[in-house]
Amino acid sequence: MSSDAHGTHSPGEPGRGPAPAAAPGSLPTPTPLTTDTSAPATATADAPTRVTPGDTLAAASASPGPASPGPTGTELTTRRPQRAIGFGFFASELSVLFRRRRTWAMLGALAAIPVLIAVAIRLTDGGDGRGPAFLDRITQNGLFVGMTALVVSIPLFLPLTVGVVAGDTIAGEASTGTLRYLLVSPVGRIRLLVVKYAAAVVFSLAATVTVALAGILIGFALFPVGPVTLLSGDTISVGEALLRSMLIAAYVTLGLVGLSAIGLFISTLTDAPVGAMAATVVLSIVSQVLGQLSQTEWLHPWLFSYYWLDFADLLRQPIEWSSFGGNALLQLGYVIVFGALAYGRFASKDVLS
Amino acid sequence: MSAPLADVGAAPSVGGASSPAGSLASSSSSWSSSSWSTSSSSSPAPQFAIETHGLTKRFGKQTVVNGVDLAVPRGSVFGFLGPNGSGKTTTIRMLLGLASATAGDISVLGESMPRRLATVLPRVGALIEGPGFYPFLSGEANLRRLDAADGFAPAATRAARVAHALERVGLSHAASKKVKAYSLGMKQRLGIANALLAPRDLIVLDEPTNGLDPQGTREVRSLIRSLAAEGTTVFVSSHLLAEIEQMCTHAAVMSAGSLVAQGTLDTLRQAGQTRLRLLTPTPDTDAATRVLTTLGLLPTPAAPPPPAPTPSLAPTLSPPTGSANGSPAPDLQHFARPSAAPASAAPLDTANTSSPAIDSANDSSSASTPPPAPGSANGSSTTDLEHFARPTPRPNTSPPASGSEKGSSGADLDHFARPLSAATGAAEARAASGSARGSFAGESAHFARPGLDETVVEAPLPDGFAPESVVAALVGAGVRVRGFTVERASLEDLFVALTGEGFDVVQ
Repeated sequence: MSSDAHGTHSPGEPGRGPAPAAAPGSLPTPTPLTTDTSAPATATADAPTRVTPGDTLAAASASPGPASPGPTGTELTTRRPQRAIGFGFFASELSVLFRRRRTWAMLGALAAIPVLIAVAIRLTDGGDGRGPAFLDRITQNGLFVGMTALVVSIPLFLPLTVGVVAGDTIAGEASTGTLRYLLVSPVGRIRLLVVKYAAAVVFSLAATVTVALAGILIGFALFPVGPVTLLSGDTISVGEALLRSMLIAAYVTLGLVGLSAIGLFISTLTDAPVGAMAATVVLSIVSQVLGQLSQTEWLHPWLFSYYWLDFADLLRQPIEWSSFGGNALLQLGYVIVFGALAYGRFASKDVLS
Repeated sequence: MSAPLADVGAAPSVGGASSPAGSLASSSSSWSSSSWSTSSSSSPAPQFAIETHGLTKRFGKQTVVNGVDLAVPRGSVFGFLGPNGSGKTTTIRMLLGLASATAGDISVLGESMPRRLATVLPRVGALIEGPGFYPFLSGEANLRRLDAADGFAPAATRAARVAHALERVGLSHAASKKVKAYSLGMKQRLGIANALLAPRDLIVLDEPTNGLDPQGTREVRSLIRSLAAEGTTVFVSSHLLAEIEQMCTHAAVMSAGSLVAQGTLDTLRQAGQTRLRLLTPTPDTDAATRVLTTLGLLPTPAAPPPPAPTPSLAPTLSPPTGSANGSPAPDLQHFARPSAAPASAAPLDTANTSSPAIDSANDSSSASTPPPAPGSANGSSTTDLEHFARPTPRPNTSPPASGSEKGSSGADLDHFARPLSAATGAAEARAASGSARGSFAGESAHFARPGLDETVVEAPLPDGFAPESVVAALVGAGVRVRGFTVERASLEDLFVALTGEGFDVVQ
């Protein structure tokens, strides 16, 4: 829009100088009806002659030409200075996510896991030593409820909920019809992907923290709590143990980052959110099954679920960070690959929903 | 684009007319010429809010939009008309960067479209294929959300803008209600409110009155008018002609993915001409022709109806609607659509009258051999008396002034009722009420099936010709007039001819 002559001055705004404001007013109000009739005489095929005389409004809204070259050209650029980086939209995305009843239902279900475990153990007064890791320690120290619950929920419940959120990212917007409105807002396709993905990761964190926190709380309520003896034999204080619990939650969240990226990608493939959710969850199960088979041993380090249950290293003194680092690298790889795939798919996708 | 139709709506007519617009005089013409010259040097031609060239979209082998050249002047209220499935929404999606074009280029608000999307779209408000909202959020929260998505929208004024937009569509009272509790009409309003969140230069509304009650339709109409008064260009798509006719200054017609007409509403109206039809005994044909010629009219004996199994439908197919004027000879089967005979007799005639009007050059092409139809010896031996006794039910026996049509239809009547009140075009009267239609259809059928010894003579009737004087002249010359009608091919006729859709049937 370099030419001042007909810079589009936006009609909704007050004219900046006298010129553009006066110009539309100076036009008389001709009756277009009469002008049309004389039509076919001068027939030139050039496109601009197609401006119809019926267009008094067009004349009024366009700036009046060389007489007032003034500020109209710049008005365009000054009107909308620059795009906000997107925290506003990210906040909006989070608020939409956490205002859904579904989100709270899932978090509630996750919180119920440690509660169920704790209550069951409390009622049966311990166990016979079988069951998931840390289960036998709960009766001695309530702080282990959270860890046990994480171990229980990692294979299915966490991937399930994260798959629902990640699979819903784009496909859910498409199915409610909001995707097209977001895009013409315009949200920017990349911005939308990034914000959606970030929100899915935030949900993963919320999910694991919910499990851990609920476990700690119910542990405090039902069992004695004291200093924790680590796998390495060292003993740490309750405060330190709580910190470790949060660290484990962070580790588990990190393990879900790759799955979220996969869900995001699948979500760009379809307009049916349920399909994308199911596919994401199924993939997480397939990955774990493959991880159990010795025939696919070569594949194991590449599976996104490879490090999922390896948080025991965080319960040593000093902390053994290698699995944390390995997990981070692996998940980063998944994020890059599936993020690129999602971008490649979504950036050029025809949104017809 | 088919050539003759393009001529009707588009370029030549209107451009030339802008200078004679006397009062605009010097300022206007200097404006147009100068802006034109600069526009040719810089890339976009900013007098068009939307401009496309050869816009095409294919899904697989199916071409949904085919070489569309839209030109939406700034400040216009542009009606984008076409039957369902004619490619309107796909075109809109391409205009807004939701779908990519297979071929062709788009410029919106003077900027090339998918490329400058981020700078163009903040100035464009849109309602696309119905509203889309989060059902679990309130109307207000939905708007805030969509406004937050626009990275350019200032957050500081968000609450005020949302409230204003809600007020403008009359939803303030339901602002805090969850959208899932909204009725379809309320959702539609909310969708329009979303388009109004920021000051816009262009507003695209896809079927804005879907799901609205008559009151809501009126409100949307007046909203669109007020937007236009502010200088916003409004692009409205609809499959309802009545709606477009009442709101728009310009229109384009899509049919089967192609743009078949475009121009100001008045230009389009003039494409349909007033014609008189005369039913006379065959021996009198020559005399009638002579009289009409003397009066300066150009009579053409109407095409004889072929011996078709369904006599009332037959004439529909005979006039060279599609072939003669090169329009994409649409769907003859539309006409043959099984419906009550009288109802389908209506569009039939339309084709008959409007097709020569559209392409006035092809008068000769309608195979004009007058003689009695060979097969249609069905006893339409109504007496002369009968014909004369029956007053023409049509209110349009005097040629309507082209301007008045708009005026009367502008009255805020529900579009269902509109044809009654407008009552300017034959087709409108036809569509008006059951009884009117019935009587007309009967007569029309009679015109379509003249008796063995009868001939229909048609002639374009220029404005200002009193039909009564024509009849008087005929009678004075000893011509036996067995039937006489004046038909004005309305916009509806034009659209029916262009798209093969009976719009009244659609309603």
